Amino acid sequence: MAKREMVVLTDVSLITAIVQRGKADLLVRSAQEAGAQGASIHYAHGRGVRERLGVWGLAVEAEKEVINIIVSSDQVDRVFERLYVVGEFDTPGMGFMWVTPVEKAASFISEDILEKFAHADRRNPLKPRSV
Amino acid sequence: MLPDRANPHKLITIILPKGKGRAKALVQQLVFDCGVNRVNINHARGLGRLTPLQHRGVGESSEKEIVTVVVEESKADEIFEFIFYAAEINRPHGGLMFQQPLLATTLFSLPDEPEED
Repeated sequence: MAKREMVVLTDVSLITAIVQRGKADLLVRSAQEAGAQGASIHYAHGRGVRERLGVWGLAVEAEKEVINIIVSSDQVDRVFERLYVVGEFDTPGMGFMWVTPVEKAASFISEDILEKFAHADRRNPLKPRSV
Repeated sequence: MLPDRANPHKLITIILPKGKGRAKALVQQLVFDCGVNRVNINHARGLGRLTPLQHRGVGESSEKEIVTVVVEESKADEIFEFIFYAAEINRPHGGLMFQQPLLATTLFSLPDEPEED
C-alpha cells in the first residue's frame, strides 16, 4: 500500500471580522498585504448598532459580510492590527472582529514548500505525519 | 437544559471549492459512514493568492462550500483524517480544513425514523 502523508499545520489562528456589506474585499486585500494567504467571505444580516446610529437607521448597512481568515500565529497580531486600521473598527457601527484558536489545519502543501520548511528551525509549524 | 461541558467536542470546518459536489458527497459519507449528524453546509466566496486563476492577479474570487462538523473529542482526530482524504483536501486547490475546540455543546439527536431521499 502506498504511503499517505497528511501535513498538519499547528500554530494557526482564525480571525473573524463582521463588516458592512461591500467592505470585505478591501479588508481582505489589506490582510493579504500584511501576510495572510486568503479568506472566505459570506453574508449575514446584523442588527443592534444600526438602530442607534444615524437618521432612521440609514447610516449603517444592515447587510453584513463575515470574513474568515486563517493566519499563522506569528502573523495574527500584524494582520489583526491592519484589519483594525483599514476597517476603522474604532468607529462605532463599522464592525466587530475576534480571533479564535485553531488546534490544527490541513491543506495541500507542495513538495518545494515542505522542503523549504524542512530546513527551517525547530519552531517549524509544519509537522509531516505518515499515516 | 444546561450545555454539555462534560463531554468536550470539536468543531471541524472544511472549505471546499464549489462545483464538484464534494460537499454533499462528504456530508453523505460523514452521516452514513461515520455516524455524525451535526453537519452543516453554507456558501461563501473565497479570495486567495494561490487560486487556479492566480495568473489574473491577487484577490481572485471563487465560490466555496463550507462544511462545519461538530464531533466528540475522542473521535475528532480520526474524523479529521477521514475528511482530509474523503474530501480530497490533499490535492492541489483541494481546499482547507481546520479544527477548533468548543467550550460547550448541546445534544442533537434525530428521531428514529427512516430517512427520505
